[in-house]
Amino acid sequence: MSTVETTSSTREHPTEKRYWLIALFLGIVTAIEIAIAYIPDLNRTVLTVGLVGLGILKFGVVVGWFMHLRFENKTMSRLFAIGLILALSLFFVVLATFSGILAS
Amino acid sequence: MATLTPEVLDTEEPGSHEATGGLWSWITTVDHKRIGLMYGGTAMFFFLLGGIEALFIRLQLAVPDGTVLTSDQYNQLFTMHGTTMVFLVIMPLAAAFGNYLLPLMIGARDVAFPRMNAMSYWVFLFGGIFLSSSFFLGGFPDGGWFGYAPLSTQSEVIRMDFWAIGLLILGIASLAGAVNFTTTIFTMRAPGMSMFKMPVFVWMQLVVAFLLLFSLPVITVALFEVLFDRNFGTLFFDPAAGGDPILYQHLFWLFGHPEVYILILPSMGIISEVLPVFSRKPLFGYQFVVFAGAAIALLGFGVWSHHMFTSGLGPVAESAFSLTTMFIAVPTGIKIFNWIGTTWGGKISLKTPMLFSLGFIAMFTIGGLSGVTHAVVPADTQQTDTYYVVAHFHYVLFGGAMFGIFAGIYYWWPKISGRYLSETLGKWHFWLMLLGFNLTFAPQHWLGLQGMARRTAVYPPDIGLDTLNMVSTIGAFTIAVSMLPFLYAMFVNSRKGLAAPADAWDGRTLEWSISSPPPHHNFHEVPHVEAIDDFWHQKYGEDEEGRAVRIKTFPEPSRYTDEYIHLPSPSYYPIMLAAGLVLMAYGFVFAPLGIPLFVIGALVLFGGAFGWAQEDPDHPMGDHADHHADAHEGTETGDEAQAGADASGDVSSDDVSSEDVKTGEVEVAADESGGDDV
Amino acid sequence: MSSETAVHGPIGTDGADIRKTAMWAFLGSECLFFGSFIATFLLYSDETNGGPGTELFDIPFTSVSSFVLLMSSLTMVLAHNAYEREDKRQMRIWLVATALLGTVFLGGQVFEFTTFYAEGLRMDISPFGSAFFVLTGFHGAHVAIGVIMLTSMVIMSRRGNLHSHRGMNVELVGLYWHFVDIVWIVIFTVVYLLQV
Ligand code: HEM
Ligand SMILES: [Cu+2]
Repeated sequence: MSTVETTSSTREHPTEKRYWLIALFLGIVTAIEIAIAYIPDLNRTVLTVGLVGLGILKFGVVVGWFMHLRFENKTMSRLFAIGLILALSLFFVVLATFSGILAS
Repeated sequence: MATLTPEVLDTEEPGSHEATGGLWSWITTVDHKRIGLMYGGTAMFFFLLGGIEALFIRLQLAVPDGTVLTSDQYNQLFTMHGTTMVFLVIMPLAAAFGNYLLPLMIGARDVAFPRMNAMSYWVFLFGGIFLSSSFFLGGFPDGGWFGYAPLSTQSEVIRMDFWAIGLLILGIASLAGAVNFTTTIFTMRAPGMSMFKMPVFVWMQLVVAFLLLFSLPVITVALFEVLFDRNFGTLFFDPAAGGDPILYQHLFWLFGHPEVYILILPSMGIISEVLPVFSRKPLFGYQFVVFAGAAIALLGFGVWSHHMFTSGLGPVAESAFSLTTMFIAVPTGIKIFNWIGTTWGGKISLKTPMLFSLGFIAMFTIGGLSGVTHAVVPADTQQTDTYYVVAHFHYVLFGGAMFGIFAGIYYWWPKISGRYLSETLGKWHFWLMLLGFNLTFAPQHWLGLQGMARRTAVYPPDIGLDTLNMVSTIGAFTIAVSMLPFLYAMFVNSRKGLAAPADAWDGRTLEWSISSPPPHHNFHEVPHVEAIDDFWHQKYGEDEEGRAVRIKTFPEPSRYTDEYIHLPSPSYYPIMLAAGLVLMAYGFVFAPLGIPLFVIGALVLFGGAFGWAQEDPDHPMGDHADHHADAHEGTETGDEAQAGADASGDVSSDDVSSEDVKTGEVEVAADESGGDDV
Repeated sequence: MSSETAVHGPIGTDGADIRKTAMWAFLGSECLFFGSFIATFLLYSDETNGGPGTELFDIPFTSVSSFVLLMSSLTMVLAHNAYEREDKRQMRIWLVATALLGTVFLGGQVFEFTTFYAEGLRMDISPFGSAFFVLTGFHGAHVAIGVIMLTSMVIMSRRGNLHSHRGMNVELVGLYWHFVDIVWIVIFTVVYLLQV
């Protein structure tokens, strides 16, 4: 029975101190994001890539550590991943059909 | 609710489903079997309602320039007919089968969240009543079952508010059900039942749950946007201000196409159980049927725009969606071949469940083929919004989904009630329905190709539409007549029916190993599963020529046991929550007058949720305290999932680590026996 | 077996926490919910119908409230940590902190909405306005529900009524709360930072 019992706790959960460090990290990333948004005349593509990249980073850190998804079994991460991937891909297509790039 | 102490159980009348307790015990029940029955009964009631609406539509169309209905009434009736059949009949019937059967088929004592399950039912019931009550409060919704904006946002009367809010409410029921079923299937299978040992019906329910999970939120948003446009002056779908009605179409069909598979897959699951039993052969190509189901789910998310071919998507998008739509016919076809393969060379017994299953295959194939013709954009441009489309979706939904559901009713009724339904009446039902169905809908192919538009209350004489319309109307009334033997069999004759043993059809799946009707706790002992169709393999071995030979006969199982088996307690919070929700809905529709009602509803809802959160599912409080001799269970009090936790009580660690969850709709292939997770 | 671990809910035959599995299924579903609203917003980000547009956004202000919400994830995780140690008092402190931070965020949103309305950006003025208010409003509603759940948990815990096996527990509410936070991470990037 014991193997079952430990599903979610065999791998070490972060300690309290680790959580504070993660939060610090998230705060710094947010600061960088805001700074980027204020750089004058920054190339639009660089800006977009930079901000989206940092957003994904924060997203991943919160999901992986604060929500423990790194430490859970595959069912849970897959359920979430399917939702995420579907949302991204379906709405990418929807917006593409509006943008006209599929029109001709 | 019945007390579970053996003495009392012994005096219980065996035929009754759960004996004592009366109305209150049904209102507070969390038993998946009772909830399944309530789902089924309610949905069947709505089926009759939707059927009557259809008869009015066909009366109006029987002759040219029909005068039975005004065009306003006609709009209301076709809108409510579609909405009722999709959301209040087929979806809840699928939920009924899922509820009743999932735990029995996977060897569990209940679903993962019994109270949430009860809530789903009450929310569905109240939502259905809410939607239908619009008839007395200003008229049925009249903007079509897909409520295209801006028609749905601009009509002045509150009818489409009823529609949008009604669907939002029903969405809550379905979403909760989907979460529940997903979790049940992943976490509560009997020891040994790896994903690929599950009955196909369970697989199909899992796929449906996934489809619901990921498509319902999208229509929820579409409905909110319509509702806000109607009530708060937002401009989502107002072209004059820069809003785009095409967005609504995308959001609706992003849900709508997965939805059609939500409607058909449960029936596919049902006939995948029925065909092997009545052919006395295992399902041909189990893996293929499962993979095809998963493939349909995945592809089903990628074809939505085939409902929008005439909305000006542009050639690239149209070609792409045309292709994906043709592709989706492939897994669909695979399944058809597997079903035919199952019957091939089998010892076929043409009992009513089998007849309906064979009817399903034939009718569904026709509907699938007309679907493929819609996939061809130039052809669809002619077909769209004509009766040809109406014919298509009735062949898949009625000839398909409903036939499958009837197969399921005849098949599992002996398990549910302990008595067979009359074969004679069943055969009358089937043949009359098959005849009526084809009389009604086959002519509509021709009508549509001749240009008869759907959703139009009248058509002119002398353009060659008269005869076929009359035939179609006669067919519709034949269908109505075919329901009589069924209703008679269910309500009058079923008490006199032949008593059914536990294993009523020499079945293959776990539910046939327990008594008919099943024990309150389903399984005296949680089964241990070793193979697909485990129960069959316990009964039959093979001789040298590979023929099945009976190796074991089980004594008739008892419905009762001397052991104390712990089950979740009843609760009135689920119905309270649902009631709060529907009060809010009425309050919203009738704002500003209804605002007090809205507030009261919100308070009831909050009270229900708060009480629920604090309620110990195993130590009933106050007035619904009943049966638990909780003394010796004190330490075991789990939560809702108690039944599952019990089940895992005798899992050996090997079993668990060796089968990990093979999850996901598409990744099922990856068979990691990853001990690392466990 | 489910009873031995006081701080975890029951475990299924697949070895996973049953209710966490359900929660993740729900959150997967929520991705599509917010995805639909965000897609609506992206489609309408330029449809200002002659009214005001993104130039009204006050990035420094929104950054602060975003930071507040981000930090509420920290306090939430600390509450969960205390819960696992069965340190009820600490847990309640962090729960209260989380609820407070959430309330501050909501207050910021109310302030932002009133300012925008005063400046002429309304939800009935343009599809842009509609999309903006309804998206951020539904997010705000999620935060509000979270605050109610957190407060309820504090009350229940004081009454000795908070059990891992009942309808609500710190871990589940925590997952919900973090999810609402990551949705805001997306909204902050896509709706605010990328639009100015
Ligand atoms: C072989 C598989 C299928 C294909 C290729 C297919 C294709 C299509 C296409 C292209 C349309 C749009 C026609 C138009 O409006 O111009 C359509 C409509 C429809 N299909 Fe299918 N379909 C298939 C199976 C099904 C199934 C299994 C169901 C339900 C159980 C279904 C239900 C519907 C419904 C309800 C509509 C009409 C929606 C409406 O306009 O009210 N289809 N189908
Ligand atoms: Cu479709």
